[in-house]
Amino acid sequence: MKKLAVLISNAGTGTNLQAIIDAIKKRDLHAEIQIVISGSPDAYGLVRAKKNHIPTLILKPNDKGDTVLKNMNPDFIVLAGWKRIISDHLIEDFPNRILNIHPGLIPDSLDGTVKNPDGTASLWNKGKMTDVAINNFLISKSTYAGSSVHFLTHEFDFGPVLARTFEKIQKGDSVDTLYSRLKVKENKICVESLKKLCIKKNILIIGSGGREHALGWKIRQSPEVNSIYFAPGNGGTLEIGKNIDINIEKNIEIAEWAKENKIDLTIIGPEGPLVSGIVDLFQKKGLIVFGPNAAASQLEGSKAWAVKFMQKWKIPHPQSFVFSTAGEAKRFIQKSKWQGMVAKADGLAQGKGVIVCDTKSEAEKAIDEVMVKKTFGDAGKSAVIQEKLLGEEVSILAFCDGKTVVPLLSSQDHKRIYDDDKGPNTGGMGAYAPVPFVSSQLLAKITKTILQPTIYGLKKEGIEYKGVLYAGLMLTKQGPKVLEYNVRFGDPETQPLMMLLESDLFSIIESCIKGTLKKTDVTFKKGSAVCVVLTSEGYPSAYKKGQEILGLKPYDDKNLQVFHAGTELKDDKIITSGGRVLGVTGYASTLRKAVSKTYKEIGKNKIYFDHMQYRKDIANKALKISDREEGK
Amino acid sequence: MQLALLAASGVQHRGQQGAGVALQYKKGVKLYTGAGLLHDVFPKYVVNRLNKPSKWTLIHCRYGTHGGYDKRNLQPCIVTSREGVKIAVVHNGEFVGTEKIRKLISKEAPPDISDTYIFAQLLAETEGLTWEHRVIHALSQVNGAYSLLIGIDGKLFVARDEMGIRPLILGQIKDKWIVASETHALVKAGAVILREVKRGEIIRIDANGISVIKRGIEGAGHFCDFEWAYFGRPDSLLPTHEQPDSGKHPSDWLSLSTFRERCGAIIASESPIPRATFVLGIPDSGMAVATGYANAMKLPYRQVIIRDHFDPHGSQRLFMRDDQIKRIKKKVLGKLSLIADKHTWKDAIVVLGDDSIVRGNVAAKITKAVFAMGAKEVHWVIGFPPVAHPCYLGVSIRTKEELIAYRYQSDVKRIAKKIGATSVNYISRKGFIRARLLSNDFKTSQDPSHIFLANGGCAGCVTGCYPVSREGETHKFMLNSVL
Repeated sequence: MKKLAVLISNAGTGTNLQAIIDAIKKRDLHAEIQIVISGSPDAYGLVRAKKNHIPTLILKPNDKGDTVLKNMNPDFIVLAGWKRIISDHLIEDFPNRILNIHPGLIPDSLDGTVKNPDGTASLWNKGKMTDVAINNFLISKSTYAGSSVHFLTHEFDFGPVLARTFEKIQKGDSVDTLYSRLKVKENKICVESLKKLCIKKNILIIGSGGREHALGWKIRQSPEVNSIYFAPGNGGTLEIGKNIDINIEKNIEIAEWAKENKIDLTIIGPEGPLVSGIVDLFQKKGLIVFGPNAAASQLEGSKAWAVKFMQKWKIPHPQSFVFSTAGEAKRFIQKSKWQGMVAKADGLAQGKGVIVCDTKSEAEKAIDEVMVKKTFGDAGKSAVIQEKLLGEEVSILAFCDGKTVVPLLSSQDHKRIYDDDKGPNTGGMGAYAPVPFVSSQLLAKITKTILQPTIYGLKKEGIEYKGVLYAGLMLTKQGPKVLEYNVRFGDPETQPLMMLLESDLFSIIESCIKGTLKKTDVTFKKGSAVCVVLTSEGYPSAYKKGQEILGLKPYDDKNLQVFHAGTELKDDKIITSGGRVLGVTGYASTLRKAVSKTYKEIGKNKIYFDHMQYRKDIANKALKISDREEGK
Repeated sequence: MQLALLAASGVQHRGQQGAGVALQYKKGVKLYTGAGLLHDVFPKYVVNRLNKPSKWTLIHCRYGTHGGYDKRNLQPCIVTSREGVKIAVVHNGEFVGTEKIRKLISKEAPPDISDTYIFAQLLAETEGLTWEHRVIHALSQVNGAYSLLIGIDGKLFVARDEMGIRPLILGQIKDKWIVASETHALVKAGAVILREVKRGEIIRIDANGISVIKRGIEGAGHFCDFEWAYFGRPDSLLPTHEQPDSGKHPSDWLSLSTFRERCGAIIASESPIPRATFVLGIPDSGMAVATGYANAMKLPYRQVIIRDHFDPHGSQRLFMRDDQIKRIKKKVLGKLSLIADKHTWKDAIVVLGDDSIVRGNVAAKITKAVFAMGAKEVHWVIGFPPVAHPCYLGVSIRTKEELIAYRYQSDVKRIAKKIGATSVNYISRKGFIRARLLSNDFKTSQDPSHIFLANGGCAGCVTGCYPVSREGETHKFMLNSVL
């Protein structure tokens, strides 16, 4: 629910305030008045506020109210008869969030004019205060008087207009008679404008994985959200929103659809659209979007760029070298004294462009794959070779608003297809959070030495990072080091993290976009969550599709959810349509309980499909470590 | 600060009682004022101390027309708004109806405080969401003669009264802006003269550059005629405002020097003295009138009275020091020096030219001195009609009684007798107006005393008819159709 601060004075009788109070009472306006601030103790609006049990504050004569407003951080500030100065700082802190009612017709551009209903030019009354302005309608012999609700900007009596109203001037009108009629209309447009601003939002989520389902599930719980659309979505997202059949390779088509369908917020799941600049495109079209822009997405889009960036800003990372020809890379491998090394394709390779090598010949083969055979296409134009680090891998995801970084709980992914980390790499076979061996001190250290320097470095390079930053870390003896950056939520880490997140996801995302993350509540439940991914047999290579999934039921339990990935609805049946099919996710007070609760749901007569395959050891390592510690 | 000081030296002649500066530094507003001329108030060590980057700098040379002469009334005048924001105001002109404004403000204003302070306090108490609203609103409640600069936070507001009584010129130095009462100040600072601030206009200058927040009124208002005759420096330019579209560009403006020469030529046609031995102008503002007269009459011009720049009062204008009327007489001859060779003066018929006669003190002293040198006749030619009424719009003529023309009902014979001169020849009212018009667009009025008002002037000091009354009522006058 949107929070409002209404600023009044002893001018007038607080009718605007009353109109807002009434609209909220009637549930017409989806907002609450956080506070009524008055510049004078004798304002009648204070009486109205007290009658309705709304907190009030009377400012001292020399107080501009900046501090209290900044601390309370309401979504909108309504100036209802306020006469004290609005400082430039406040306007900067609340861009398009301070509403004012001006007794004149504000045009959309500084050199424009608004036409009256009868086609004559209306009066702006720029710089005129109420009585003077109303009188001006009369002495200028205008046919209509009128008012505008607008957002405050640095230009006085000008800013984005939310609503206008007209009142025909009648014979014999005086300032009082005219204003008394206009005021009724003013109250109306003030409430109407607020209604529009406080209306529940329509959300579009781009992607089709378990991650997108989990994000949708979480944001569905926000009181501010109206409809959720998924593009393209999957068999599970249908239950919480609508799936849109749209080519997500084409950013422009998505943007046009979002504009046409009045989407208030678009959340980008996968990295592809981010790297190809979907955020820049949306912003250019005036659409609200969550995710980093193309410049910031280079952190994931180019491993070489990321390496150079970490070197420049001294962010801890394994020793790394960038090569643009296979020859150079191989010469380097030959000379290298490293025990093992990691070869990476520079560009995006759907999570498969990382090859861990224990010998030099393996490394040379890897370079051949990447740079000669171009198995990953253009992503292999250049390559990065890094020393292989020893230690535990963890994922740290963090919300960023360009200035502030707030990490989520630590989590751990399980990349290999088989138990005990055997077999080839996959997109992720399961995850859990929080990771028991990432203490709050370690998380603070990671924030200080990795996350914050990353955002700071980007900022210094003129790149504003707004979105989720994912740091894939190795916890080495020398401290945490960055193996890779991702510029989005991880899959499947997102599934347990969303189950653990207590705060409203919509508010967090909104604050990331607005740059007010610092003041926003990001809290997690105590306890643990686990996600076990069910895949089709054969994955990550060839696998069968079209198997009917049995045992699915509506899950009302917020602590147990099945997030869909490769599923679709066909003839009223949910069938498999991808390699990773489902992510069964459970929460409990301890990790052990969460693990057993989750696995209990999987199997014949429970959640099951033919040729189902999954790991049985998700979070086992963490449990062993905690066992050892308990054993002490 | 140095640039401001340089520019201010270009308007030093307009105010010599004291000077002051207000600067908006990053940390806040700094005010520095003192009595005397700029070089007295701002010795080098003071300038060095103030010479820091500032968003705006207001500098003012005080010429008290209202309020007491003590230091408190020196400008810039600084008041604090209820929010604790410092407001700095400099003002050229004089508000009318100050008693009414006094009642609008809650704070008890000291009895001898200046009109500028009262206005600044009004502005500080005005309510409104933005300073733009407040400035517009506060100015809508006052009347009179004002060319104002108001510095608030990072903003500088520039405003001029609706009659356009006092001058205000806008100029530019690269990406900086400069506003001053005379073009000469802009030239001194190396600025490009852009335009005059229109009457009734309010301009805001801030980080985004310049924007007009209240549109001004086109065309002539009621510009002070005494500015033309006496106040302005001869090398300053002023627009003549005859036709709606003319004179917009500074290159079309008229210099005060040229204007005053024209006055001299017009007096020559109105009151010729062909028998004169030579013509002589009283330094500095009388010289142009006398030159114009001499040229028109084809009479020799001789600068046999010179200004003594090294006299203790040599650089000051005597009329300005109205706080010391009694002492003016004594100073006259110290400041001016007569070339003392007898051949020049013996039996000569001398025509003395001056811009105006206000109190007659200077004229009487000089007449006496010239006769003492052996002259046979002393004739005065005066480039401004008789000043018989006080001015409450920005020139310090506070009482009628001090005016020689009032005391002798503008009777030139009686005035001549009082001064001791053979004759006193004022320019006619019509002649004066014609001198400042580039075209022949001269308008007549039903009531002859409205002649200046009909032709874009004020000259209330000549006619007693002012564009706005002392209480703040706008004067209504009838225009005759042009004959």
